[in-house]
Parts: sequence; structure tokens; C-alpha cells
Amino acid sequence: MPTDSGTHAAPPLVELENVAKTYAVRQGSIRRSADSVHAVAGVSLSIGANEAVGIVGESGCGKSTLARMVLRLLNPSAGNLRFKGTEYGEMSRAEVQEFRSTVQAVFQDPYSSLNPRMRVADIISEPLRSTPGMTRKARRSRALEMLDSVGMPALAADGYPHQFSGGQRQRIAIARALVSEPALIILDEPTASLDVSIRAQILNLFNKLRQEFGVSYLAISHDLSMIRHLCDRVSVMYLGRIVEESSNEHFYENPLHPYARGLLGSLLMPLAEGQAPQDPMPGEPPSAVNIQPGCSFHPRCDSAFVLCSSDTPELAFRLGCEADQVTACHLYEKAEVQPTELGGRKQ
Amino acid sequence: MSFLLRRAVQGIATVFLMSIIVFILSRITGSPLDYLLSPLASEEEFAAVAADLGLDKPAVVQYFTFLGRALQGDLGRSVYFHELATSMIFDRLGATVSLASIAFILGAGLGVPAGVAAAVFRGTKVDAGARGMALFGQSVPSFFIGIVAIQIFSVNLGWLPVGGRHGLATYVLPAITLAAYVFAAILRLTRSSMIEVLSSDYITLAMIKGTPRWRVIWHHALRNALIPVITFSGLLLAQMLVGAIVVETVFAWPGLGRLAFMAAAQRDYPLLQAIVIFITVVFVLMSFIVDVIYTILDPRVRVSS
Amino acid sequence: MATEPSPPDGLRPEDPVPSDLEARKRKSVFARLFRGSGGVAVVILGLIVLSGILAPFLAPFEPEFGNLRESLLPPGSPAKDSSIPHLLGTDRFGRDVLSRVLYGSRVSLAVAAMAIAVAGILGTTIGIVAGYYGGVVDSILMRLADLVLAMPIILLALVLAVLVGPSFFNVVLILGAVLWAEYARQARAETLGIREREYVLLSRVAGISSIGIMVRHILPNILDTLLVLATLQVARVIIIEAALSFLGVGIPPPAPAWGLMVSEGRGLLNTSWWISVFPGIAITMTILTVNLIADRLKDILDPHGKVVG
Repeated sequence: MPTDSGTHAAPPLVELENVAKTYAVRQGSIRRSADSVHAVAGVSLSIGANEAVGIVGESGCGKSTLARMVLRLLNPSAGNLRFKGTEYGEMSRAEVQEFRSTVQAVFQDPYSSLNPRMRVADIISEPLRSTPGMTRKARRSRALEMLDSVGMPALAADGYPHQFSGGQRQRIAIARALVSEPALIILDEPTASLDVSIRAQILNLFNKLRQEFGVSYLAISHDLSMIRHLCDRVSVMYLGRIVEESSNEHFYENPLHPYARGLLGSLLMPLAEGQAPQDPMPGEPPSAVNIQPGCSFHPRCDSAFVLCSSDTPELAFRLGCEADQVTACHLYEKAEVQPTELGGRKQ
Repeated sequence: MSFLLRRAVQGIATVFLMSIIVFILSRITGSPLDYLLSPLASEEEFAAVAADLGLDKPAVVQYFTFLGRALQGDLGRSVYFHELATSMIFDRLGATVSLASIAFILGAGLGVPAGVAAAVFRGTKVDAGARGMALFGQSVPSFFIGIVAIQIFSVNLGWLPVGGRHGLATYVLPAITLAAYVFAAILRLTRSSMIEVLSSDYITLAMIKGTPRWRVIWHHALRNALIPVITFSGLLLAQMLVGAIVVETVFAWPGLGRLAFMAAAQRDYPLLQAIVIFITVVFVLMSFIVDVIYTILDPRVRVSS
Repeated sequence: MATEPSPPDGLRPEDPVPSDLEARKRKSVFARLFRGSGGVAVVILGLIVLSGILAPFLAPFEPEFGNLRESLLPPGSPAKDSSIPHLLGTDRFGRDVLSRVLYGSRVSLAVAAMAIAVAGILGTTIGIVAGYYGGVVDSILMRLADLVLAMPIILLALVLAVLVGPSFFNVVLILGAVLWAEYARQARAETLGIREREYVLLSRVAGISSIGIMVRHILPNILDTLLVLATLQVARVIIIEAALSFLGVGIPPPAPAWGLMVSEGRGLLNTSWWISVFPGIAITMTILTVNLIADRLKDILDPHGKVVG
């Protein structure tokens, strides 16, 4: 359900405004500043309390870069990021500390997410070290609580990561993400490295945790089915840009952008066991270096026409959109009327 | 190109740093006058030397005076021998270089084939034997080898002269002693490098094509396996100059190493200082040459960084 | 000869290391170490170390005082004031060689332990800081390390010995001041890799301080290779110290340093060979076993040759 954050008293947890990240291309030791990689090219997004937002896209579309910027691990080249209304760049030390305990993350690879030399209990309770006044005992009991919440036995507390399977390690990583009682957890491909059979379990865990703790998610994945089961809103990302955004149901009922349709098409094709999902769209995404004018998708688009190669379509409410959808495609006329209920979107 | 430039600058910085260090060391541990003149020298002699060195001037000026002279080739004068350090060094350089060269040829000449054999016959007794020899060569201290060798071969058996440098026979024992470590180090490096090359794809390809085994080893594998060995050797040679100190002392070999030792024994600081700076320059030069060779041999280094 | 980087030996870089090999390795480190010649080496080295530690109890005589009337006695000669004979003979000053060899173990080990401790702690700290923070700090520190690595140790020792006289402290100082650079280089290289690992990123996300990350995440994960480096260096330290003592610029008399003993017996090799030979054998055995163990340890802990010792 799209939230009407315009009338809420509290600002959204995290807000992105035209955030971009550009890397200069180097050849040898000479820097050719004319060439740049636009990993993220103008993304706007907002996540409020108890909301699950999903970002879908192929690998290389910039989603992980986006996640790192949200997590303050990377500085944006342009645009603004705000935490509870305060700009990232202007946060005081105390505010940064608050940010760190409010926003957590679970990454893709369960094998490198956990320090192989640390005990599970210590891994889980590590975020609590920056909380003043917590004794070792208190930290340990919190760790045990968290293990329970993620469905792991208390025995696991004294084990080492290598003793656990991928799915179990991911649970440990989730336990660590929860221990500081965050309001928002960034999930960067959390199930991509897990066996298919385990994925459902982890997904269920995420939903259960959301019910129990009211935590928000920013879920980033190429796996549409995961996003479908987890998120309230979906944004589709292509080559550093959001090309479509909508509520969960409307996205599956009414996909507009050809890329979104293509992604869904791959989802609907039945898979034989062990078969990797086929890509119904021919060609690979072009490199993000020196983006050409026009729609970034048009080289691969079946329905492209002349305008598509010269004019970059704006992400906007267009004819054919449901009330809570926006899309960036010339196939759909830009609508004059702007409905009032649109999740924090600026037109 | 920028890589080489950077290395050159680093090298020069090293030499300067070394000169500063030895200069500072000599000044903070007392006045140079203490070791330049015997305590019985007269007042006038003290004053003369002090003026010559410019000891009344601030330390920085002194350093630059020293530096200036050094750049012109004047590294000071030996207190004990009363000769110019630079000429003493060059007089003895030949002895050390000839010894080091022969030791290197011996060590590498035996080490490379042994390393290759160990790699080719990996896991067999040949390999075990070679590695055992390498282990010994690395572990027995050179001075021990030296004095035991002298005792057995010169004194007891009388086959070879005891020491000094006068004729081909006098090279034998010192060269063997110095070569022991070289042999060990080169054997191990050749072996591991060879093993790595032998397991690479294009070697397997050559074998499948039916090329005779010896040709594969000789032509294809060895050439690539030797690259790290060659670059390593450059550094090794430079360090042999220093390691020669011990061997030259044991065998009374009239080389640079022994000169350094005698300078130390006689507390002849100016001479020692000169030798240190000279050897640092050689070190740096050898490192740089190795870098150049490496750049030529390995195109990857040129393209990256 | 001792200032030598020993070339790498072991698995090829492209051999895959399974993700939990680390854990398995830890359990079997000692098991594999003790197999075959490795076990023999450990036993011998253990005896050498033990004899050094227990020297006051094991040595039949005082190492530094001798009865001049008992000088130059061959091995096995009876002693005047004791029922125990001079098992390895006596030296020019009538000192019992066996006792001196036993005590010499302490000297060598003390020098090695202290020099490596100093170099290790200093170098690791500098390396981690340089690797973690990068930028200018990294450049300066590594430039310094490179310069230090280019210095010839034995010559520096000669210089120092001339200026302030040889001493135990000087030896440790010189060795520590030159060897730290290897640790720094190694630690920095590994820190660069670990810094980008996901569990480090996640710790930053959790708000852990930089120091906390360096101490709790980076340091424990590089200790393995640092240990390999340390064991490789032990042999070098011992051989350098022996060479320095032999030349007279290391540990000064009357300390029972093995290198010093070899040099003292040098002129008498013809008649009283035992004075030089036994300490020489002691040095050789120590370095041999250390090298063997270091090789084994390297194969186990660092199969991909991350350490260039």
C-alpha cells in the first residue's frame, strides 16, 4: 500500500533525491576524464516506517552501489540522501551513531558476511558494543534472544561460522542485523547465494520478523519472486535509473515498461529443475560508460521507436498507470492529471 | 615508464637516507674527533682536523659539505690507513666482485639444474634429496663452513691454500663457502617456479601435441620458470656483497667485505661510513637494474600500474 | 648471506581453497606438523629451547667463569672440582664447553624472541594502519618501509658496533629496526584485501569504530601469515646474530653466544677443535630445525604463498 508520507508528521526513515554515482574510467595511469561510468544516474526513493520497498534489476544495474550509498559506505557524486529529514552530509556524530543503530544490512554472501574467527554470539552482539552501558552478559543474552527470533538453536551461540550451512549463516547475519533493534534493514540479494529450497524459509523469516518487530526493508534483488513475497512497493532499475515504480499488486497485474514486462516474462516461464532462468530479452545491458541520449533501454526494446533514441523518458505518471504507478517509457503518454496519492513521488 | 621512474626516485631517496643516517649516527654518538685522532695528538692537529671538517659550523652545513664531497667522489679518508676511502674501495672491489661472481656461477650453475630436476621429479627421492641439500645450504652458517673447510682441506689435507688471494686455487674454498647459500636459495626458487610453470595449461598442451618431454622442459617451461629466478638473482648478487664480509674475513680475502670488517675492528669510522654508502649505492643500482629487467621480461608490469 | 629473502615454495596460486579449509587447517596444523621429518625437527628444536630455558639446572658448570688450570681440555676430561666430567671439553679460559653451549641457547633465543617481538608488533601496527586508512598515511609509511628494507643489516650492525660498542641491546635494536618493514608490508597487503570483505563492511554499518575493526576483524585474520613470516625470520635472526657475534660486533664476551664461541675457537681449530665445532653444530641444528618447521608451517598456513619471506 503506498504510504502518503506527505501528510505524515514524521519524515521518512531514508529519503533519496536524485542520487547519482559516477566513476571516472582510468586507462593505465592516465585518467581519461571524458569517460565515466554512471553506476547510478539520478534515483529518487523514500522508505518510511514499517514499509518494504523492493528494487529489482539485473546485475550491473547499480543496485548494490545504491545500497552502499544508503548505508553511508559510499559517497554520492550528486543528489541528496536524508535520514529522518537530516542530510547525510550534515549529520552530527550523535546523529550518525543513531543512524548506525537504526539502519542495518544483510548482504548476499553468507560466507563472507561473518568473520570466520569469531564466535556466533560475538558476531551477533558486536553491533551492541557501540551502545553504552551494555555488559558482556547483557550482550550475550541479547544474542541468544536474536538466535531464537531467527529460528536457530541456542547451542549455535558458541559455534563458529564454518560449522553452519549457508542458510544458517544467513540467519546469523539476520540476527546480527536485528540486534540493535533497527527500523530499517537493507537487504542486498539476501537469498541469491542460497539453495532454492532454503530461500522460501528465509523469506518467511523476513516476513515474520517484519510482523513481529515492525521493521522496514529496502530489498534489492534480481529475483522477482522474492520481491513479490516481501515488498509493498517495487521499483525497477535499469542502468542506474528507476524505470518503473508501483505497488506490489499493480506491478504484477499491470507492468508497463517493456523491461519490466520482460522481467516478469522470465518469471512466468516454468523452470525445469536446475535450469537457470532464461533471459527473454536479447542482448546484454550495454556498459554504463558514457550513456547515450535517449532511453537507456531502447537498444534492447522490441517496441522502440524514433523518439526513444533521442529523448530520455521521465519517470512520471502516464496514461495506463494505476493510481500508484509511475513509469519511464515513451509508449505511454505523460498524463496531465496528477493523483494526490502517490508514495512521496515528486513529479 | 612511470613505474621505473618511481623506483629510480625511491632508490635515490634510499641512498640519501642512508647517508643521513650514518652522518647523524656519527655525530650524535660523540665528536668525530674522538675516532679521527689518537688521544695523543696535539692541539694544533685537533684544530686542523676540526677546521677541515667544519665542525664548528652547524650540523646541516656539515652534512652538505660531506654530501658535496661525496658527490664528487670523495668519501673521506681512512683514519687507520691514511688513504682516501674511495681509492681503497675501488682497489678491493675487484677481489670481491670476482669472488662473488664465481660463487654465483657455482651456486646458480648447480642450483638451477637441481631445482629443475627436483621439480620434474617432484615427490621422488631426487626431489627429497635436492630439498635436503637446499635445507643444509641455507642452515649451516657460512663462517662455520668456512673454518671447518679450512681446517680439513688446507690444514689437514693440505690440498688447498689457507687464505689470501693469489692464484686460482685460493678461489676454491671461499667460493664454495659463499656459494652454499646461493645454491640453496636458487634451487628452491627454481623448483617452485618450475612446478608452477609445469602445471600451466600451455605446457599440458605441448605435451598433448606430442612434443618430446625434454624439449618441453627445455624450451617452453624453463624459459618462463627462470624469469623470477633472474630477477631474484639481481638482488641476490647485491646481498652477496654484504654476505661476503663474513667469508672474506674467514679466508683473509682482500676484498670489500674484509675491508669493512677491518674498518670496524679498528674503529675507523670514516672508512666504514664510506663503505656503507658505497654499498647502499650498489644495492640501489642492482635493485633498479632488476626492475628494468623485470619490466622488459614481464609485459604485464608495463601495462598496469 | 643471512639477509636473504627465502623464495616461496608450495601450492600454485590457482589451487582453490575451500571456504572452511581454514578451520580444518587449524585443527590439523599440529597433526601435520608432527608427521615425518617435521616431527623430528620439532622434537630437536624443543630440546634446544628447553635446554636453554633449563640451562641453570642442566649445565654442570658456570658458563662464564673458568679454571685457567683446566684450559683446553678435550671432551670427556675429568674435572678437578666436580664428579661430572667436561663432556665437551673446555675452552681457552677453562670454561666448560657444554655449559656454554646450553647457556648459548638462551642467548640466541632471547635475541630472536625480542627482535621478532619488537619488529612484529611495530611492523604489524604500522602495516594495518597504513592498509586501513590508505591515502597519504599509507604512502608515507610504505615509503619508509621500502627504504628500511633496502638497508644491509650486517653493515648497519658494524656501524653501530663501531660507534657505541657491541651489546645485546644493540643487536636487538638493529634487528628490530630493520625487520619491522617486512611485517608492515605483509600486514598492509592483507589489510587491503580484508578491508573490503563483507563482514568488515557490515561492522562499519553497525557503527563499530575503526580501531575496533582493526583489532577485532583485521588483526585476527592476518595472524596466520604473520606467524609464517615470524618463523621464517627466526632463522634469519639467529644466523645474523651468530654472524655478528662471530665478527665481534654482536653479543660481546664473556657471554656464551654461539657465534662468539666459534670465533674464539677459530685459531685453535687444529688442536682444540671442540671449542668451535660444538657451538657451530648447535647453530646449524637450530637453524635447520627452524627452517624445516617454517617450511612445514608455510605449507599448512599459507599454501598460496601470500607471504614472500
